[in-house]
Amino acid sequence: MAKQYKTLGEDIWKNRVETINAELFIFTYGSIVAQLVKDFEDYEQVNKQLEKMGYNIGVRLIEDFLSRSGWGRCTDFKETMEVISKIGFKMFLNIAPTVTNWSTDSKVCSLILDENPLNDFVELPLDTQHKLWYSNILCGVLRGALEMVQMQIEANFISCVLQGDDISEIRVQFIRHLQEELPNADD
Amino acid sequence: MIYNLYIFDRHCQCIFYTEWNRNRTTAGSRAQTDSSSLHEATAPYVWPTAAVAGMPTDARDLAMPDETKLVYGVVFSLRNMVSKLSHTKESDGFLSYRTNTYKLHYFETASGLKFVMLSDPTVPSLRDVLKQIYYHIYIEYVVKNALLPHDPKLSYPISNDYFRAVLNNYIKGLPCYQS
Repeated sequence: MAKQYKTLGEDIWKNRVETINAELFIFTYGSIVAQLVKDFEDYEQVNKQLEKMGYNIGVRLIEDFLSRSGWGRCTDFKETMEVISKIGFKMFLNIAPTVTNWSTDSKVCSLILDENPLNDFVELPLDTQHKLWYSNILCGVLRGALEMVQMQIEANFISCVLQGDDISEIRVQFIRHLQEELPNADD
Repeated sequence: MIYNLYIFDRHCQCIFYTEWNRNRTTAGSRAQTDSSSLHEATAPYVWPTAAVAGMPTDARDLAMPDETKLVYGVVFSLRNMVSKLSHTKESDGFLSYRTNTYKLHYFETASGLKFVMLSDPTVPSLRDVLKQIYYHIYIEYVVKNALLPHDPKLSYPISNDYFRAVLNNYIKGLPCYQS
């Protein structure tokens, strides 16, 4: 199964996406973060804002993902995470994070970002140590996108190479399936 | 022959309706002004109309054809019933149903959008047409349009001229459009 995701992800990346200059993308993101830091002067707030921006991206991005991949509903959260990593991340960022560290009830797992294009050329000042999660936008994207397919999750960075950690890790926790809305009863 | 198209969002609201090849007198309780009849000849009837798009939600609901609620009720119940009867857990809803006067085609995305198209009973499956509308018209002209508001908790009727125009051209170019 896992191989099938990988092949599909690579096929989409090669044939079905338009790419933009990576440096343009990286520097644009960098200047957004820098501006947020300037505006809020508080790393907690910056993390929050990045997450919110990501959420707004995610709720739209999911439609693009569904249409490009032609993927239907996943059967469980494990499959969802594999699809996100092998097809989703591949399609939009050309990376495929490793999905690992599953909790025993299969509700919490980690995405290990072996590479992260957002991090390129980035050096954080020392005082941001474990306060600013530079790529926090990704957490928001995950939350927004999954909410649109009726899954409520929470995603948080727990380590990041920019903070001197060995790996970048996003912890993703499945909270619940959202109920489909029912039409209003007519009088 | 293709009759009409409904698009419903995840909040069970009709966000777009349009019709082609349709005898207006059968269209139910819709109030129609005479002044628009000249315009009618070239452009198909669409909902939301420009006048309605800016209205608050309550007033907008009144202006929406009653029929759309009926159609939503039908596809919603039918889909739920169909997946209850299905043996496997994975169910894609239903593809279409047919009566002696029309055929209803259905496509639902994982994100909860529902596309419903009515045609005459002889038309082959329009599922791919509905997918094309989603992939290449809805995505391009609605989702990727940065100027359109997008709060996932609210419904936004599609009042985008490009969307309408591209959709109209696409449907009119189909071999089953008027045969």
